[in-house]
Amino acid sequence: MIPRFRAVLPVLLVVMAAAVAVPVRGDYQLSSITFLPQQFYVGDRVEMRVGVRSTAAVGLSVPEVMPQVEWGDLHHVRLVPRGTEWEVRVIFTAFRPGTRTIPPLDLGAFTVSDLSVHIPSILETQGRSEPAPPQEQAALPGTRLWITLFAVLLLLLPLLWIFTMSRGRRYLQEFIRRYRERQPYRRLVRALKTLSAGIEQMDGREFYIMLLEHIRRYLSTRLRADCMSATTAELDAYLEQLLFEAEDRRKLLELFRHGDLVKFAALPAPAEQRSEHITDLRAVADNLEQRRHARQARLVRRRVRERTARRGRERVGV
Amino acid sequence: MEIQQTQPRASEELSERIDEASAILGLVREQIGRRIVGQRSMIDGMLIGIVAGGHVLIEGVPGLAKTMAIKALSEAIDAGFQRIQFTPDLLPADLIGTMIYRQQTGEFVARKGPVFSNVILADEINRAPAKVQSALLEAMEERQVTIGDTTFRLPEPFFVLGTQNPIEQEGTYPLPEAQLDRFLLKLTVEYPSPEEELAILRRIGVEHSIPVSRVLKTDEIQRLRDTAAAVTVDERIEEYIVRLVTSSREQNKNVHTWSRYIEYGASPRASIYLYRAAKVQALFDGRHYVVPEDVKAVAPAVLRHRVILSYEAESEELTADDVVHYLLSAIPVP
Repeated sequence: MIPRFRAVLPVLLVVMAAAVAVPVRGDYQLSSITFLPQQFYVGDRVEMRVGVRSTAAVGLSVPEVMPQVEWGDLHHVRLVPRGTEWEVRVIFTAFRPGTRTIPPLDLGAFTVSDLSVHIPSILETQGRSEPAPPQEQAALPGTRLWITLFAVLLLLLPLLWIFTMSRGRRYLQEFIRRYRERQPYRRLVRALKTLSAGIEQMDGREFYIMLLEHIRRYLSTRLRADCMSATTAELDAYLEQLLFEAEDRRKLLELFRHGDLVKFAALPAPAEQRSEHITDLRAVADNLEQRRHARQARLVRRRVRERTARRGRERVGV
Repeated sequence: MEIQQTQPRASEELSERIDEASAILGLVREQIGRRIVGQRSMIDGMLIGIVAGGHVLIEGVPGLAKTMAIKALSEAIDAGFQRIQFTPDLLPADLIGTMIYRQQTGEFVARKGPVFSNVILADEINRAPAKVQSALLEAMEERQVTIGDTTFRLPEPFFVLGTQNPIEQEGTYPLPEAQLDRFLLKLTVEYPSPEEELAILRRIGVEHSIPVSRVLKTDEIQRLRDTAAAVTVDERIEEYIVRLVTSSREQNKNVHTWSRYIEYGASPRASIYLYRAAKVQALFDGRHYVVPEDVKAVAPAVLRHRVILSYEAESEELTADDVVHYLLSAIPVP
């Protein structure tokens, strides 16, 4: 027995020495497999993350040469340490559908094999051979909620309107009326600003033609008379008839008469004078607007008083 | 707003002429006003006619001093005056003259009619037959008359004042539109106000003659005409005049709603007369430039007999004055 042992021992020693000299190739265990993106199809670039737990004492290394596959391209492999385990990331693009096997990957300490991946084709979904119809635009998270809220609001709006009709509509009408009423004034102010800006460049005659036209347009809306076809004398009559404030009336008429002289009698019109006319005209328009506003406020107050009194009478049954 | 009223540009000589003309016209007005109470627009209209070189048709019911005003005007002017009463039996020869045989020389010589005068009052012009009206109107237009083979120039100034009565249309010969167009102005004379009528009563309640001085000489009329011609009209006023007249011819009822009231609008002659009359109106105010007021002041008198109303206007009982008013209200002033 001892002689036989002596014959085997050197072999055992050689084997043991070899075992010490050659790195130890350990076993491994797959802990998880995930894909990025989760849903992929033929032609997509996919990252397969494989969690590997190993008892191997040595470090791992990526294969020096990437294996070739006939069903697609294996781009590269990366190793990421994850605590006690490693994550092997295999990046590939498949060009054929079906269940495909990843070739064994030599990671130094062990070779990972038996990795397979199912590559679906978009043509295979729902059992159709034809391409799927265009899909709806992907909605952002929360979109449905907003749409729902908006739809509810739309449905509620008429109800709100009905509930607040008497008061709300009145306010709205009043708002629109006020906006429209102020429009001629705003237009005049804009025009005066434009004229004021170009006062130096503009010819005097041209200036008064435009200025008087703007005033006529403004007065037409305020006096409710056609001032566009009215001469200066006719305008005077209108203003007198409408009890226009004496000072404002005088200013306006002087301006019109002066404008007529510049337009039709070639009277020189220095820039300072033109500028003064713009300022004065603005003041006249402001006065007119203020008086209008005050008159309307009085009118509204009177209406409110009348309405309150009527309601009071109705309540006591008079 | 203290406006520095710089004087408009006008030569000193023109300013003087304008002042002088304005003063003369004021003097004539004053003289006529001695006999006529009120009727300012009629008196001004007649003066506009004289200075603008056009003839004037005056329409009014009897008793409104039409004839008296014309006679007063003729007395204020140092010029020849003839009154022709138009009647149905009047002949053209009664108006323009005829050839008469002179026994002494044995030849026909022209005998000039009453039309050969400076101021002609064609009283009740619509009572004469068309051929007489035509003879007068031809003389008005041509300013010459042919008697036999000889053509005679009418004297200068030559000014016809026709009168007509809007009522009593029985047996009258209304002037055709083409002939009406030859009158520069058609003046309508209205009833005086109660105050004016009271003044008339007090002035001529008892019949007596009110003297009128001759304040306007023939050569002064020509000077007035020259001065009126020198009054400047801005191009925008010219455009306004043309727009007024052409708007009366506008056929598209969508442009102006009142277009439906006009069968025929005013002719280009209306533009010319409106232009001339506006200049004289400016002269009245002592201005050397025309303003839109001048145009508007004379527009009714220039346009009322040139606008032919449609059936629609007549059915709505609108007058030419109403339509001219619409026209003036629709066109913006420059």
